[in-house]
Amino acid sequence: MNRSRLWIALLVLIAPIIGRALWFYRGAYQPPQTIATPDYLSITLPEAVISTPFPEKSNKPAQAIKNQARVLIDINHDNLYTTTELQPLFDNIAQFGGIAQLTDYNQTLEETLRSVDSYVVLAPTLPFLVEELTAIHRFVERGGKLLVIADPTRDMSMYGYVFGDTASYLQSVAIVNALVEPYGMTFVEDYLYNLRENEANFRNILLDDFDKNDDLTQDIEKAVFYGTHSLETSQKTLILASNTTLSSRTDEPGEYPVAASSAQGRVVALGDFTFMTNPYYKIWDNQQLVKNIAEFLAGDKRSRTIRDFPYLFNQQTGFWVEKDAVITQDKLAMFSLLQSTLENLNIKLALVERPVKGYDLLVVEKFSQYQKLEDFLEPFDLKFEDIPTENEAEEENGEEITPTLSEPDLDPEKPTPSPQEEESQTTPTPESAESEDAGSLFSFLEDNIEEEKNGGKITVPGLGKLSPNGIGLILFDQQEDRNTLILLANNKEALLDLTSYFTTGSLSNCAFYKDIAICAVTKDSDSESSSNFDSFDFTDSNSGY
Amino acid sequence: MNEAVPSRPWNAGAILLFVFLPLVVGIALSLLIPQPVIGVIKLDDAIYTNTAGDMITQLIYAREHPEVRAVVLILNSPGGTVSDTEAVYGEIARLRKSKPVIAFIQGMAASGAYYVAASTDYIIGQPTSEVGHIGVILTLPPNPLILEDIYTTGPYKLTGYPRDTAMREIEAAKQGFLQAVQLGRGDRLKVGEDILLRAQVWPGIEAVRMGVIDEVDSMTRAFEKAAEMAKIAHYEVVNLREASGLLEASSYPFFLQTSEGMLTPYPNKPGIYMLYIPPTVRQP
Repeated sequence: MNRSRLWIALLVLIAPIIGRALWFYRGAYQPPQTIATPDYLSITLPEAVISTPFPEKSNKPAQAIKNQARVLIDINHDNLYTTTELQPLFDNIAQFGGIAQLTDYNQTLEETLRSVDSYVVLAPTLPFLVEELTAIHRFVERGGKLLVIADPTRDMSMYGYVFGDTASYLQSVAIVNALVEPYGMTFVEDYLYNLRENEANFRNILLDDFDKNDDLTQDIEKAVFYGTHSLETSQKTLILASNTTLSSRTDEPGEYPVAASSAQGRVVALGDFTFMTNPYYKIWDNQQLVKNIAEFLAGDKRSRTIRDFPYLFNQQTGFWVEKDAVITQDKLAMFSLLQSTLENLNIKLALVERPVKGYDLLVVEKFSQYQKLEDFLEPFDLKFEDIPTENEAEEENGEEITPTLSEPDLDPEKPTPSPQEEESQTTPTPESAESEDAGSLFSFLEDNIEEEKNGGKITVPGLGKLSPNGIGLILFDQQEDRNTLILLANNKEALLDLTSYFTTGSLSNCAFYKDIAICAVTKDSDSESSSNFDSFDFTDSNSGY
Repeated sequence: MNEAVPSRPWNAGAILLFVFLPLVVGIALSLLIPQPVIGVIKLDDAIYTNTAGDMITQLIYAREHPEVRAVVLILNSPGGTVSDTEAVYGEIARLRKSKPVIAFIQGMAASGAYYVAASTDYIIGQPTSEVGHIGVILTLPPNPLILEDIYTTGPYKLTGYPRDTAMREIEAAKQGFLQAVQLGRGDRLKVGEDILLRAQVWPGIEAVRMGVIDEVDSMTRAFEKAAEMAKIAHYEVVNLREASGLLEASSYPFFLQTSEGMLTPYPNKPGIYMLYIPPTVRQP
């Protein structure tokens, strides 16, 4: 009996415990058999393939050192880079004898482009003015090289991104497209990426499809672009991304061009800039690509046209005087003026009696001397009719001086000034935009013919017959070893006027036909009152301008 | 011949002794069985030193207190620093060995917050919760520099590491993140790494379809699921911040503030982050 009571007591004791336990707990938690976490130690950092230094190639750089091609780098459009980032490119440009210079805020782009061989625009965020676009296109037409680099990582500043300033972001691609679209190339507002095959990051795409026949992309097996725009081009594709690369615009894979060229290879568009900066230019064959780009920019000087006036000379220049001729005081004054002006352009001017190897040539003569200049004038196909020869012309006043100036140092091997010396010299500040107003030109020519006196006629191809009175001709001839510039006018005053164009640095009041410029100068009737070229004023002259 | 002994009648004393007293004792003893607790840990800020420290304190509390039978993480965070995220992740993995952990995504579990969520047993979101953003973001350190008045013993003493190395570091961190998601979600994951590594933010519904989270439902469902996994009923929901004696979350200038007082979604100092930074760029 007691035992059963004990059982009951035990039951009564346990019941609430069991009841409460069952009230709350319906079983035991069974944790997962394994709770796996990442094996962090097995994860390794992706390592880049460092390119090995390449051997110096042939003697190309040594040849180029003579050329001293000038590479203009744009900094006038709020470009998103620092010049230190360009150091690898600068180094390579220097290797090819080129001189890299930054755009000058004190000069118009049109003026600056006349003196350079290549122009690099990199990540601009300020639009180009219409005048600048025109100047660039004319520069390319004149043989200048244009490299336009956009970079999706430099479409806007970090500050702009953080604080929502989209002003620059919205324009950056449009800005560069304004430069390259006329050449059949368009930067796409995207970036390329590859999640599977990349260099450490999805946006660093590996490239192995290069146009082996183009100088820009030769000797490159593999390169890396560190964030690149794609391009749409109807022109020549230089570098193509692999078909596993995706565009951020569509998230679709495709073979996207990332570098292209146009205008016989003179205009190049690149979708990335970072690859040419330190340390990324050392990865894979980026170093070779930077070198090729430097060679593209600085390997050769471009041919000059008269539109590049006064930057027409590539080397020291000879001021031609006829052998055994007497140098007049006026001619000496002209020489002196030209010498000091050209010194500002870093061109040394010396007297020469004949074309000399290693020298460009500058000829300043009156129309009456045309027979002595036949060799120089031959390329221009000018016809002189009834132009009084020297003997017939009125004797020039002025004290004659026997040429006592010694023949210049004609050693073609004489080194030209160093880039530093050149940089330290100032260039003249020429007036802006050259005149191409057809109305002015025709009215000038009509007046010129109406006022024709008995001074004969000069037939200029493309422009017809002109009276020599009141006009000056500037003729430019570029040959393989020499550039020749000829200044012709009716008298000494007119020649001084013509010479003064060097000081203004612009042929803004001249009409052009090919490499011939026809400029208004003092007429015979005005010569007495305007013998000093400094006081010459087109608005006061009767030239028809 | 033995005859059965007639049972002694139940008198008041017997009832008191054999029924009432054991019942009282039984009830008293049963009270020693605690009511199960589902601990709640809230994260409604970025993951950085302070918030991660608080979360870890609460996770340790949950692990060390047997009445806490499950934990529900209520997440509304854009993520945070890599190291703090990994620290929380490791602590959750440890807790899961004894107790289920459920994640409820209230508004956003992006980047590091999703890293944390991926380490739980079950993820519930809301239809429009912002989920995913699997990846790492880095602000490169400056180029090596030296200063006139500061001397260091090595080139990277001022900047930490080379820029190129930093770029590669985040790739390693990304791999860790990816592994954490793949291991945490296991067979439930219906998309490959090509999709995951796009670092996209998905709405809750899309995230369910992709197996990035388990379902979309209410917060109550998160507690029910926690109870179901812990096999408990009639539980109590306890805020573990209060239970563990933590003070109110202290404010810390994690996000960059402009001189005008505007708070940006950018961290105050450069570094490696698992953080969702919504674009501040105004679209045209």
